Amino acid sequence: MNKYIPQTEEEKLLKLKRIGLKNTSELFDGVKKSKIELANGINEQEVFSYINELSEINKKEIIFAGFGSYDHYIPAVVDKVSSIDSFLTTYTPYQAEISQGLLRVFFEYQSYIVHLTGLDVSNSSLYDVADAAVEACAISLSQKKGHASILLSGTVHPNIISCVKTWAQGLDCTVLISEVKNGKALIDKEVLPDDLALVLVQSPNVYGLIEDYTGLADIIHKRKSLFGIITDPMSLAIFRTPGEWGADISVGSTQSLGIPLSFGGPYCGFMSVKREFMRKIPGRIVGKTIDNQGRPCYVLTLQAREQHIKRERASSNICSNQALMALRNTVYLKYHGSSGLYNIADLCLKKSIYLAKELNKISGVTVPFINDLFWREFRVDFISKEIRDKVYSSLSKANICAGVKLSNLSLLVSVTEKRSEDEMSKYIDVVKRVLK
Amino acid sequence: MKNNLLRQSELSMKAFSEPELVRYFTELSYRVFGVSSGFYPLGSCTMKYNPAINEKVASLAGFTGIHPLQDIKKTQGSLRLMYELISSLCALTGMKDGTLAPCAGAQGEYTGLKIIRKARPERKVILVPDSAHGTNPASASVNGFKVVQVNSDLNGLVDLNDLKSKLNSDVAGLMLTNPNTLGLYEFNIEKISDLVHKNGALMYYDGANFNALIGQVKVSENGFDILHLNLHKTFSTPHGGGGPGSGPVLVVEDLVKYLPYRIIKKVTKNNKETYSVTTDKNSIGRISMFYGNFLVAVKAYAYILSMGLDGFKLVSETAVLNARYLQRKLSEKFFMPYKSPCMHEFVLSLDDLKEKTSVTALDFAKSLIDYKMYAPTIYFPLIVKEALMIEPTETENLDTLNNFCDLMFDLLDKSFTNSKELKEAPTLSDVGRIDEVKAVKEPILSVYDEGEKI
Ligand SMILES: Cc1ncc(COP(=O)(O)O)c(C=O)c1O
Repeated sequence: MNKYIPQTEEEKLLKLKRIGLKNTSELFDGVKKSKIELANGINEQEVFSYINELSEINKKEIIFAGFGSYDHYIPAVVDKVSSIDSFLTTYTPYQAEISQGLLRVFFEYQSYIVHLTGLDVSNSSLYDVADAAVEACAISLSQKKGHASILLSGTVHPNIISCVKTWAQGLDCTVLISEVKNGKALIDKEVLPDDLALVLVQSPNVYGLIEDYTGLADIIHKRKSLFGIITDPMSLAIFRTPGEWGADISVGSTQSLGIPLSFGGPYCGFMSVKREFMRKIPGRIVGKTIDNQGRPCYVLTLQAREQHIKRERASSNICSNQALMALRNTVYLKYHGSSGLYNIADLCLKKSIYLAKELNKISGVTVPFINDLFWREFRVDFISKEIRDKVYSSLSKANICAGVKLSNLSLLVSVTEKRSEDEMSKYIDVVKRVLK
Repeated sequence: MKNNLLRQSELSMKAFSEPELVRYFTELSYRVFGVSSGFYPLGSCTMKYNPAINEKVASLAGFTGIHPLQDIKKTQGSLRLMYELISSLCALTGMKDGTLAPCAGAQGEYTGLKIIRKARPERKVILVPDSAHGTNPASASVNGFKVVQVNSDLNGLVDLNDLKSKLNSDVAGLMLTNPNTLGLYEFNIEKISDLVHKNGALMYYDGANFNALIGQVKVSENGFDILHLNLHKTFSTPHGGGGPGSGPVLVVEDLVKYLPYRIIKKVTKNNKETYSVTTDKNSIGRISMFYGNFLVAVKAYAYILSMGLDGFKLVSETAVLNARYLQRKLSEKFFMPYKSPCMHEFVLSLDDLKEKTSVTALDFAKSLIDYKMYAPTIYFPLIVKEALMIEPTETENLDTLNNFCDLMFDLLDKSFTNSKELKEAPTLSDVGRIDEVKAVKEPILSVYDEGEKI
């Protein structure tokens, strides 16, 4: 018997008989079968050793790369809870009465996102930060009649910018990219187009810099346009929140909060909005209500926005989301609480400043924004591409992933709370050696 | 630090000790029903058992600890796994190449439609059957296409005459799932493809229902040009409470150049194989941050290795057999709006019952969950009134199927003798029927909406 298909030969015959067939090939009568070339199945031990072998071909390194994927420590309890079978194997809680535990988790997740971002309403997850940014653009487009423009800051993560550009193909919409000055967004109010639907900025931005949006919300709102901020929820333990900057929408990745690197996914995108956009937000939203006996309970709500009701008039096509990742975020935040989260964010701040300063001291190495405020990530420039690449490969030989190569001369380096003094010293030593 | 740049409001989130946390979440987990808890015949979602080995391999440190932007020389294991997974999916569907970037079925549709737009830039219309899943028309319209509906005929299949009348030079493609959402095989599939192709349009396959065909039919031979699969359905990766899923998109040779970032290539040099990532200049561009939901791909690949071609034949065969067995038994007392033998799922209608007893599909669903099982999908597809959509999958044994039928018959009897009981269900779950209207009218969407703190 196949281990995943509980059926004896006898049972098969019994079922066939009941439906008046002699053999299983009659189940496909009228269906033209194909010749398929695929190996037959192997046993579990063979599966394990084969895939384990693949995992061992990957080389684990000490990670100083960030760029949308950050190597934070994840408490073991996060894995423990997220592998509880009922959480893992259930689906979207359509039958709320037997899904209360999960609905409560999403309600808490929404509460955390609301609290961290300083906005009013959160959904219960989107695919990733790029998807969340695209959905923010879609909301802004739905506020406008006819052609509209969306302005992205030039300091938004380039992968997010590409996803927005892909999305805009075929839509009545122009995507503009703002200028960048000293590593930060330069939103020039003189050149804002008349049909502006959204200004979307990012802080901490792609270079890790904290941007100052003083006065920006007013300028944007005067243009009857929306103001969106891409951010990292962990950074909001320290820095001014999207709500406090006057944003209408905030999006980002929750990967920092208990989701492993995992070669880029699954991660999770969040979105929170001001209450007036509550009915515009895409995806599943959990609400609290009462049951027929007046007991408090939770349910998927405001579903009139969604594809299964609205079909081609839905504001978004999302159906499955990243629920289990939102559960991981919830466990992570409940574990750490505010002071735990603040301490981790603060360590990221201090450690990245430390490494940036040490590297900046080395002749031939410049950290261009060293005097500015940055968090967890910073740009390092070298005199030539050759030197940059040599630094990268020398660190690589020491099993250190030096960062992410940007343009020709730069590396983007990320330091999380997880990086030890030892690891940083090793990094510094190798760079010094190469530049000697 | 400039004060102005710092958080102004107090951060106030309570921390819990580990024992408190574990008790708390364990208690919550008792109030969640998963595939591991019992029968989960949620039609269109293929809630099959999720093998334990999948989780084991997806938690290997050689995968979880790898950064997506490490030097490609150091991530060869991940790239190879993705390459081999895509190759296997191509072998099963007859497609040429594909991408794992889409994070779910709907994002696969979005990607596929971007490809259609690139390939047919002048055309503005996407056809979808009236029985289609909501994501199909939604994906088409968020891509800027006009959606035109194709009607089903009396047998629940695409109405060829209606299709013909809607084909014109503005039509870019037809989105179709086969078996369709009624669980019926589109026996005219080749004729449909011919008509669509002669019109210069493309055929999109929504792979949500691929469990019925896996190991039997390469859908390329039905004439499909683009498709997405749902690794969280057909390929046994768990649904995670709503996700993460994975919705790989595969295409025929002519469309390979449009695939999104990044395409994984195998290079053989001096008998040594390496894997690299490239992009074609014709690509639609990027559709997600990195490589999609990689760990979900790992689980699906473990499943493919476990099953293989012989296993997949048994999967589709048993999935169809189980559904047809249930359909046959239930058709003795329930009204089947479409009488033809089903594939992996079927839809029955309680419209007649509602007339006679006022018992609805919702009442049935709420009654079923009182018996330690999940409910079928209800009120979908939209063309069936008071629909119950039942998909048993291949991973349920005969006892479960028989018990389900007995229960359905019991509830049917009760609808006539004691409809009040169905109207009041569920009574055994920890909450009773929920006031959804209140949830919409007075939205409480976070603890702050009720003046509390987290
Ligand atoms: C027929 C059909 N198409 C598309 C989808 C969308 O898939 P996903 O939820 O993975 O986005 C579903 C999901 O239930 C479906 O049943």
